[in-house]
Amino acid sequence: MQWEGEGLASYRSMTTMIAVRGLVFDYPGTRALDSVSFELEAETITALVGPNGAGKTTLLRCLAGLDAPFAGEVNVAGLDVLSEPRQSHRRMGFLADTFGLYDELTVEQCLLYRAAALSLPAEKHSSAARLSAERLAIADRLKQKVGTLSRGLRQRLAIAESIVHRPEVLLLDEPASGLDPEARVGLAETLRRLRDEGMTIVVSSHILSELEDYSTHMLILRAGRLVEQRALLAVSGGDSGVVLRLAAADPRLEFLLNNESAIVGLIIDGETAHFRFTGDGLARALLLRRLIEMGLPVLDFAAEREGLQEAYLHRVGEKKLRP
Amino acid sequence: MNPELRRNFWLQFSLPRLIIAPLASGMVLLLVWLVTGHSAAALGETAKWLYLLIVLLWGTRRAADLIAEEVAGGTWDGQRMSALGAWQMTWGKFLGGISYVWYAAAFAFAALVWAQGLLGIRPWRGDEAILLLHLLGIGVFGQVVAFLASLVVLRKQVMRRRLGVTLSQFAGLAASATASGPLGVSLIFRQRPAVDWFGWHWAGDLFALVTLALFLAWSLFGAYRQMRIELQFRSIPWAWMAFALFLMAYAEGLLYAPIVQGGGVFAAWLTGPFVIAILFTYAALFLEPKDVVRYRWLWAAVAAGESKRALTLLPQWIPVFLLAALGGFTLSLFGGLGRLPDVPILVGPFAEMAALGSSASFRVLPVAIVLCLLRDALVVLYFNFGPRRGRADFLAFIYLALAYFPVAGVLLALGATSLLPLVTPYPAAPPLISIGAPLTECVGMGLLVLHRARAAGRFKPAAA
Repeated sequence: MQWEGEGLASYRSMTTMIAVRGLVFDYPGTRALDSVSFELEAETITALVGPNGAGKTTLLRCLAGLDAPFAGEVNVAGLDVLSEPRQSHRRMGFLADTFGLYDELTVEQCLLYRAAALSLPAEKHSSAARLSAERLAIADRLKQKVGTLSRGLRQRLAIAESIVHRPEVLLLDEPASGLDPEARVGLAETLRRLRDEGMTIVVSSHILSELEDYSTHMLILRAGRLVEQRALLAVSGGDSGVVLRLAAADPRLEFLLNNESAIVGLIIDGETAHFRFTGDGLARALLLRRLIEMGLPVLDFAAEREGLQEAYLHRVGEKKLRP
Repeated sequence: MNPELRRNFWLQFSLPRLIIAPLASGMVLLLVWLVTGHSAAALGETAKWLYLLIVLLWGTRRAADLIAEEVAGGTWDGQRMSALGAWQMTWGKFLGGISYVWYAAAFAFAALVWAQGLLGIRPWRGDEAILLLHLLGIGVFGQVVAFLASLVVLRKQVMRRRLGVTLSQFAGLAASATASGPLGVSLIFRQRPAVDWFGWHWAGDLFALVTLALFLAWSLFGAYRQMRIELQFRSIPWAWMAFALFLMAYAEGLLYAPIVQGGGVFAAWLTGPFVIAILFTYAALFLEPKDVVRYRWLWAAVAAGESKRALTLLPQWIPVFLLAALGGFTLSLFGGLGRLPDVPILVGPFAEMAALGSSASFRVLPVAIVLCLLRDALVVLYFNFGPRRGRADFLAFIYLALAYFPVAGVLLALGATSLLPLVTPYPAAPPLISIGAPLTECVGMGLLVLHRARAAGRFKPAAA
């Protein structure tokens, strides 16, 4: 059993954490998943989006080994989920949209139970429970009965249960449903932190705005088929989109940027410039430095991301137009 | 400690609950003790009934509800996501879930033992020990069967929680009732006839206790196998067949003496296993989910030559049906049921009807029975492959019951016996009709089932 980072470290060298090939799942008269194939890189947050009934929950349940598909392969963290469901569960966490908790237990008992049920060594149960509670900011509630928690705290406890064994992969089905805006912000922060700590996360939702804050990639499912898989955040280095925003429009901006050989596709709109930068991360940092040294009032200088909602609507709309 | 067991202990044994159980039992027993003027016999009898009430009524209900309450509470998926093995999950959940019931029952049981001591009975010796073990056994057996039934109901996913739990509880109560009085050995009335099993003579109550232990082991094994399915382990479905074979051997042991006395004809030895295979086919047909998608997977695996996958997808009724078919054809080859009236216990009330049949009719009767069984299986599948899957088994049961009883009865009353083979095996029918009628129906039903299976394979898009 890997613990406290040792397992994660070994997986960081692997680029693919989830691999799905030719997944087919049928309900009577309905093909819920139709030859779905994709690979997800480690340490990413993938938004699994699509209309109601597109197959998102079915896909997540197949990834979690809760439902067996008609055909296809699911490999998570190096394990074949379909042939080794129990071993796979030690490597992943799953939170169903209609999750339940044991109201009569305390928060600590819930976490201790999950730690034991996920086969952590007995001497690690307490520390794992405490660590998980701290990560979800519910450590002050350990002795509180679950039945007395608010909706947002219950959600956090449910996620804490899902990650008590420090899984490499976390699958969340509609995690923000029923949460108030404050709790949603907290959830987004939590998910970003978990990803930064090395977790690979898949989040399903049909509310795109809630996914936009933290997703790095997007999978679009429609009518059981994978319509598109794409990255949302531009990674540092490489040919990436950049948006530059000034505090006030400056006539020198166009001249300066036009003279940069690594910049292509420059569009300037008032105080904002959009362009693609072909240099690496260091070259981009030097460009920013030069702009500031020239006295330009730089407000933002960031990788440009296509909004998840725009990307989704663009892609789905495109599909609809096709015959 | 098994995590599932510990979680249940946390849930079950709060301080108020620890106090209330002995308090309530103690008050009832104290009242009886005082009212009856310190009568040890009355105390023992009350304690026994209190014990039975707790372990049977409450215990079976609790066991039947263990999984259902997890499903209703949304915690079952979380449990299925654990890394616990199927056996750990089975015994941890079962033992933990009913632990408080046994905690409450322990006080009544202790009072029973104490009362026996006051009456000068040594409860740990001989017959008394067997009786006490039997008392414990029927409680556990009923609860395990209720738990097993709840897992079966869970897979069918067609009924509401309360109905499913009640049906599972009834299964547990029926099992306990059966176990409390097999072969005249009744827990309450304590009759003790001797039992002859394969020529070995057993004291009745000891035989009943050993039988109970064996069936308890099988029911636990059944719960474990069902749990494996729930936890998505891939299994080859041999357990039902193994239980059928065990029951055949068990029944043959009990039929040994009358069969030997009747001349030991081969057909007589085969009849018991043949009947058991038929009953097991019907039981599996109605108890298992019959999802058309799963049957299409099976067909695809067979067509692709993936024998291992096909075996894991094989419905439990098919192996036992094949066993019944083998038994039926073998019976026909070896003279059919013609000499069975020599063994009255095997033909029972049908002995008179047996006299109606000619020798040739009796030779083909087992094959006709197998064909009717196949036709019935296809009827059940036909309903399950259709649009009303939720009530398919119920509808199939009603149709079959109507065919076998009212329709057959009306035909018999009208004297239209030549039409009887259309609905039920009939020993007096000419062999050609006896076989031809169910065979034609099998072909017809097979085509209908095929049509529905194909229709289910024409997929609608998952979403617009």
